[in-house]
Amino acid sequence: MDDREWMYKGWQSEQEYVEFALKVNGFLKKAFDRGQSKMPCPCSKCENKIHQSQLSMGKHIIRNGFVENYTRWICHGEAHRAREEVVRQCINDYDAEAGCADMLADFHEAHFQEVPKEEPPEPTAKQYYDMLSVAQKPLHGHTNVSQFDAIARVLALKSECGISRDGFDKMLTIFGSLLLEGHILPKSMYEAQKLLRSLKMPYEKIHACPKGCMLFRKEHADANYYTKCKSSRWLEVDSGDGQKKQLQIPVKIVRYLPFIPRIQRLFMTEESAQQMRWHKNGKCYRPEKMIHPSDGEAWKHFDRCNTMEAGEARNVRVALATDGFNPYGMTAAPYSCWPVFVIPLNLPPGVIFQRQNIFLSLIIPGYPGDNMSVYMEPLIDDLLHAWEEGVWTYDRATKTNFKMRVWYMYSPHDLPAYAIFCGWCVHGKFPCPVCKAAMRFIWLAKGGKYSSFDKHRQFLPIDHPFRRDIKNFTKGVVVYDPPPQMMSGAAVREWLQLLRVKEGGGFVGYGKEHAWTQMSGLWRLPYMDDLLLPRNIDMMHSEKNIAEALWGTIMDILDKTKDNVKA
Amino acid sequence: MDQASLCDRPKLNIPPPKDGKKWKKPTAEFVLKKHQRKEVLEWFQTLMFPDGYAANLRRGVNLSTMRINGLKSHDYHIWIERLLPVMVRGYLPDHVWQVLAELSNFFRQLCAKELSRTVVKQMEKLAPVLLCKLEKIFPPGFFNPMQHMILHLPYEARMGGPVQGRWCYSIERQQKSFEPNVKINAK
Repeated sequence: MDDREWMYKGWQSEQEYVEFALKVNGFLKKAFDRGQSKMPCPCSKCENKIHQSQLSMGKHIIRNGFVENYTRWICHGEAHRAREEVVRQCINDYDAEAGCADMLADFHEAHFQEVPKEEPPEPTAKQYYDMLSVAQKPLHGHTNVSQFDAIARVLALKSECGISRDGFDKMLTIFGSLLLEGHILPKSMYEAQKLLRSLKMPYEKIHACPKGCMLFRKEHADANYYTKCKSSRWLEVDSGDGQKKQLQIPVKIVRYLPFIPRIQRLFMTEESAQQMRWHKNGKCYRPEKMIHPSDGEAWKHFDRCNTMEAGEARNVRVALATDGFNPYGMTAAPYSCWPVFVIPLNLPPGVIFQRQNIFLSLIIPGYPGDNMSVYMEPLIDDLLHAWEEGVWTYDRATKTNFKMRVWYMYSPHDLPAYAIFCGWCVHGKFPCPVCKAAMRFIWLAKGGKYSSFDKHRQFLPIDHPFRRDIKNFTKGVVVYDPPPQMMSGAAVREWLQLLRVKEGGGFVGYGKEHAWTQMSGLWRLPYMDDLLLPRNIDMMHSEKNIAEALWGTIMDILDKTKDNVKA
Repeated sequence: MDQASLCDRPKLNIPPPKDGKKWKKPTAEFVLKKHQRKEVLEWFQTLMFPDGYAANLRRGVNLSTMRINGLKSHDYHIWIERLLPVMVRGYLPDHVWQVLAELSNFFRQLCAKELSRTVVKQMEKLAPVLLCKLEKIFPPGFFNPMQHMILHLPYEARMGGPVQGRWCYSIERQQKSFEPNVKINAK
C-alpha cells in the first residue's frame, strides 16, 4: 500500500494544499473508475454512510477532510485488510523447507541422533522414515507443497473450525477433484491420520482387578484371574451349564499416558527448552521475595542432599496432583474418576500452571481409596526409572542430547485426595495428616464429630498468657505441653516399615495408635526422605471451607451455622 | 451443648426448652443481627469489582432468604480476603472484628504472588495465636480439621514457595476443560 499520510497532512496546510487537491482528484478518479454515478462519501461529515456524486464528493473532501482512519479505501474498490492479509499469509508463509520439514528434523535429532552406540528401535525408526518420505513427497507434479504439509494444514483447519468427520471427508473429496491428476492428498480422515500416526504420544490401557488389588501388567500381564481375590479380569457371563464364561471385554481399565515423552517434547521446541532452565538461570527482580517453588526451602534442601542430580538445570522436578472428577456433571451417577496430573515445576512462574504444561498422566476409573498405590504403579515405575537411569533427551536450545532425570517434588491436593495419596485416613481421631498421631482431636458427643477445639495452645510459646487461661478455653484446663515434634521423612518411613499387616487387610493398631491405611507407592522412591514437603495442603480448599463456615456462622444461616443447638 | 460441658461461657449456652417449645438461641456476639444482615446483603448488591477480578456477587443475593446463592471457591477467596473486614466492622464488637480482620490479613499475605521470607516466618509464629484467638470466640463445633490447617499453612509456604504453585485452582480449571470431552454412550 502506498503512503497515505497525505490524506490527513495536506488538508488545511497552505503549502501542501495544491498537492492535496491533486491527490484527492486521483482518489476520485480511481473510485469512480468502474462507472458508478454515486459512491459513499469519505468526508468527515458523511463518514462513508451517505452516497454522493463525484463532483459533490470532491467538494465535501476539500471542505471537510477525510474521515479518520480511512487509509484503506475499502468502500472505494480496495480489498479489506484482514481478508487480504490472511490470504497472503498463507501463500507467503508456505515454505516446504521450513515448517513441517524443520519440525521433523528436530524430531529426528531428538530421537535418533547421538543416542550412544545404540541402534534406534526398529519399529519407531521405520515409522519415522516412512513419515519423512511422506514429508518430502510433493502433493502433485506442479507444486512444491509436500503431502505432509498439506495434511497438517487441512487437519489444522478441521480442528480450528470444528468440522465433523463426514464433513472433512467430503471436503477432502472436493479438494481431490480440484487438484491435478495423480495427486496424493489422502481421501479420508482415516488415511490422513494414519500418515501422522508416528508423531502421536504413546498411551497405554492397563487392565485392573475390579476390586483394585492389582494391575494386570508385568508378571501378571497374561493372567485371566487374580489369584488372591479370585476376581476375573474379563466380563463373565453364564454359559448355560452353570459355568462362567469369560468374554473378551475387560472389567476395569486404567489409562496411563506416559509423562516422560511429554516432558521430552517440552525440550523439543527452543522456547520451552529454555524455559525449562528458568528455576536456575531465570532472572529474579527482587531476590528477597519468593515467587517460585524453587525459592522454597524444601527445594533448596533437596538440592543440597542431591548435588549431582540438582546440578543439571535441565533435570525436571514434577508435582503430582489428583482430584475426584465427575465426568457426567454434578447431578448424574455417583461415579467419579480420578485423573492424576503431572506438572513440571522447572518452568517460570507465569508459565508453570498454564494448561498446556499440565499433563494428564493417569486416569483411574472409580474412587481408588486404599488402593491408590496400586493404580499409581506405572507412574511410580516411570519416576523410579527416570531417577535411577535417566532418559536420553534432545535439548533443542543447545542442540545436544543429555540424560534427563525426573523426580517428584510435591503434590497439591484437597484433603480427601491428600488422604488417599499419602495413605493416612483423615476421618476420625487423627484427621491432620501433617501432625499425624501427635494431634488427637476431641470428640463432641452432642455434635457427633471431632473437633480441634483447644488443641492449639500447645503450639504457643511456653510463657504465653493464653496457656494459663482457664476461663476462655476448656474450663479449668491449663496447658503446659510442648508443641509436638514434626516428623521427618525418615521417621515416617521407619514408622511405616514397623507396621504389621493384620489378617484380612489393614494394619495393626489402626484407629488407635495411627490412621495409616496403606503404604503409599511414593515410598518406593529413594529420595523421599530428602523431601521436606512431600505433600501440601491445598490453600484454596482450606480457605474456602473456613470462609464457608465463617459466612454461615456470622450470617446465622440456619443449616450452615456452626453455632447451633448441637454446639 | 458441647460448649456447656467444655467451656465456661454461660452467655452462649442454650438452655433446654421447657416442655415442647422450640430451642431458643441466645444471640452471640459474633453473629450479625437481622437488620444488620439485611444491610450487609444490600451492600453486596452494590458491589462492583475490577474486570476479571471476581465473579459478579450481586447476582446471587437473595434478600427474601437472606442468603447469597451460588458462591464458588474463588468468591470465598475474595470474600475472606477483601470483604470480610469491611463487612463486619462496626456491627461486631471490636475484639471480634480485630480477630476476623487478622484472619483476613493472614490469608491475604499468604496468597500474595510474591512472598517475603521474613513475613512468612513471622506468620508461622502468629498462626497458633490466631487460632487460639478464634477459639476464644467461636464454639467448639466450629473447629473442624480445616480450621486446624491454618496452623500448617505458613510452614508449607516457607517450604514450598508461594501458594500459586501449590493450590488447586489450575488443576480444577484443567479438569473443567475435560468435561465437554466426555461422551456419555448410554444416552
